[in-house]
Amino acid sequence: MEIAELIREIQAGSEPAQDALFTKLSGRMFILCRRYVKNTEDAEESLLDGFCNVFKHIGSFRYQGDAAFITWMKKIMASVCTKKLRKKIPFQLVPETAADDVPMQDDIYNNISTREIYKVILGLPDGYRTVFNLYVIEGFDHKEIGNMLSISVNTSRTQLMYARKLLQKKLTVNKSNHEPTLSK
Amino acid sequence: MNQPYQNKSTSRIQEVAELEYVPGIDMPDRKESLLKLRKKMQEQKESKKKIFFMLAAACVTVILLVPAVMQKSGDQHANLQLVHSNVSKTIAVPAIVKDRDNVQQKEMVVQKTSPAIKHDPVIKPVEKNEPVVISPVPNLIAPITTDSPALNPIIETAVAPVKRKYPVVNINSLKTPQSTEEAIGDIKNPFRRIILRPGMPPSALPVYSSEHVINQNKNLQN
Repeated sequence: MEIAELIREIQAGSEPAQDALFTKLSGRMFILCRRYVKNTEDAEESLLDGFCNVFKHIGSFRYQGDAAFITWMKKIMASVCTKKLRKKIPFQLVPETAADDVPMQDDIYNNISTREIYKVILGLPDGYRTVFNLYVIEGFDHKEIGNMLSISVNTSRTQLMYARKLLQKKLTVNKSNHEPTLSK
Repeated sequence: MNQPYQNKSTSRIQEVAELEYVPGIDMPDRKESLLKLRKKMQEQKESKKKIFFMLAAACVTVILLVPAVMQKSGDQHANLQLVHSNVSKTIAVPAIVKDRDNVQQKEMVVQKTSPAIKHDPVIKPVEKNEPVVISPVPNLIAPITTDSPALNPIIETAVAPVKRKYPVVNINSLKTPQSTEEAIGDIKNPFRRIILRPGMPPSALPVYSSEHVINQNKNLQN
């Protein structure tokens, strides 16, 4: 069944349609939640809370294509995850020496699979990872991130800068090792 | 950062965002998760119902309790008043005013000297149409200067509109005769309170007769 049809049925109050949508999109959304929350149980709880919110507010959603709907769902999931993380994230700053002096390479993403990039992102510290996810992947701006995480815009910017440097360093190290553990 | 690199990195990031499956990172069990989701949604519905019922119960309680409490406080107030009236009757005895309906509308003309220094007023009932010496302000203290004629008492002659300013007193109608000073006191404060304590005979009132109405005033402040 197509997503549009599922949405219509859910808006009409169909529970089987809710189950079908969950079955269809839960894997994708779980991967997203897992990007924010390291613990599998917490990620699952965030996923369920996110789906509850989706079903709660789907009545006011105007369907404009599958991509728009998935983006909307992703924003809800990210919001739920950040709510859970808000009080837990320490936003510690990694010493600059750990992130500095990383040579910029144009082909940094070459020969590294997407899943490996995903795993490297998971290895970032909580604060860096959250801001990186929200800014680079979900597309929120620093003001929105500041509101979501109750931090200042400058903190968000700083966290993103360090996250990028650290990610670059880790990817460089991975590339130099030539040991891609996962292939796309 | 050149343009092709930026495009490439952006596309790789997009790929990361679109990932649907990563080996080693998978949901524990979808069916179980679905059951959990159902349970969670059911709990949310029930909590909504609970909140609704609690709000409704609170509203009903308020609606029922507020008038009851108001009534109870009103009863308590009434009981207090009753007890108060039983223990000590506060009777405003505007005897002179009350009596004015019974007495003949006989204008009282008073003579009053108003000296420059403070002095207790002396009021003598006199007959109508006699000249009256009265000060408009009874307790007036006029400034005394050496060349002021105020050393002598200021004497003003006027016909007092007794009916309006001074209640008419028929002294003879009172069983207990009042002295002039008492009458003056009544005139000065016709609404003074006289507290009738238990055991005190009604005749202890300065003004009490069958002709007089004892006003058991409900309003304690009057």
